[in-house]
Amino acid sequence: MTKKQTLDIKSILVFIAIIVAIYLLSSISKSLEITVGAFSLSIGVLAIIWTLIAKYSLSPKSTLRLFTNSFLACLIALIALSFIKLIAFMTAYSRNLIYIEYILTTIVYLFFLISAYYILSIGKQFGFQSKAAEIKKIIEKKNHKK
Amino acid sequence: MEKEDLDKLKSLKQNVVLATVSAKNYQKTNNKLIKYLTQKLNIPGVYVTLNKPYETVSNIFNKEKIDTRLIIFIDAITKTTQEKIKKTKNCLFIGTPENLSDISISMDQAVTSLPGKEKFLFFDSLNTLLIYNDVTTVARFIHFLSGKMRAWKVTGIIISLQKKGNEDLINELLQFCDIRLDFK
Repeated sequence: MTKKQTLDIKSILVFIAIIVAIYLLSSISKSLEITVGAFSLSIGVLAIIWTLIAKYSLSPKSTLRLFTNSFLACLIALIALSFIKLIAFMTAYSRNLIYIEYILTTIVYLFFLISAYYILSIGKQFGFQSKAAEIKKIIEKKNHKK
Repeated sequence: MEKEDLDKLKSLKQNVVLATVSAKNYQKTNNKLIKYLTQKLNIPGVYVTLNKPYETVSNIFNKEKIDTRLIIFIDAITKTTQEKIKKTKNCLFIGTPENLSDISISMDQAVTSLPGKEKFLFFDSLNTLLIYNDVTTVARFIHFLSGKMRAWKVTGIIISLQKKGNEDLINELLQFCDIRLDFK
C-alpha cells in the first residue's frame, strides 16, 4: 500500500469518526447549539490534521511551508474560539468568557491578516505575468517580421 | 553536437528528454540547445539553474547571442551565498536546490504564465540536485517533474552529466522520460 493510499484511508476514517461522533452527540444532546458546536470543532480538527500532513510534505524553509504555519495558527485560534463559545453556552455565559471570546476573535483576525500577507508575498514572488506579457509581445514582433 | 541530435528535439515537442552531456562540453551543449529552442524554433521557455548563478548564465547566453528575453530564469543557487537578493523581471531566486517545494511552485507558475502552445522547460542539472538531495528524493522529484512536463505540454529537457556513477540512476529515470539523448 502506498503512502498516499494510507493517507486517503486515514482521512476517510477520520471523516467517518466525525459523522459517528455528531450522530452520537445529537442523540445524547437535545441542544442544537451543542451539536453545531461539536460539529464545528470536529471539522476544525480535521482541517488541522490535513494542514499538518501538508506541512510535513513540503520542503523545510519553503515559502509554502511558512504559509502553512500561519494557516495552522489561524485554524488553532478559530478552534479555540469555537471551544470557548461552546463552553460559554454550556456554562450559561460567564462574564469572563466573553472577554476571552473578544481576545480570541482579535487573535483569529490577526492570524488571518498574517496569512493574507504571506499569500501576498507568494503572489509577488512567484508571479510572472508582466514577464509573460513581454515575451508575448516579442514573439508577436518576431512572427510579424517573418 | 550533431545537427541530427538537435533536429530530434524538433520531433520531440511536448516530450520529456533526458539529455546526458560530457563534462567537457557541458556549457557548449547547453548553449546550443537553448539557442536552438529560442532561435530556430522560436519558442519561449523556463530555464531552471541549479548549477551557475543567473548572472553568469545570462552573461554566457548574451555572449552567445541567445535571446534571453524569451526565457524566464529560476535560480536556485544564488541565494545560497547572497540571502538578500530579490526577484528581478527575468529571474526568480529560490533558496537552495534542497528546496524542492519552491522549485516546483515557481516552475508551475512560470510555465503556465508563458504565452503560446509551444514552450520548453530546461532543467540544469540532475547532478547538482544529487549534491543537495538523496537519490530517492531526486528520483521521486524527476518522476513528479516528468508528469508535470506532460501535463503542461512542454518540451522538457533534463540535463545530466555523463558520469560512471550516474548510470544506475539515469537508467531508472529513463522510464519516466520519453527519450535519452547523448551529447558528446
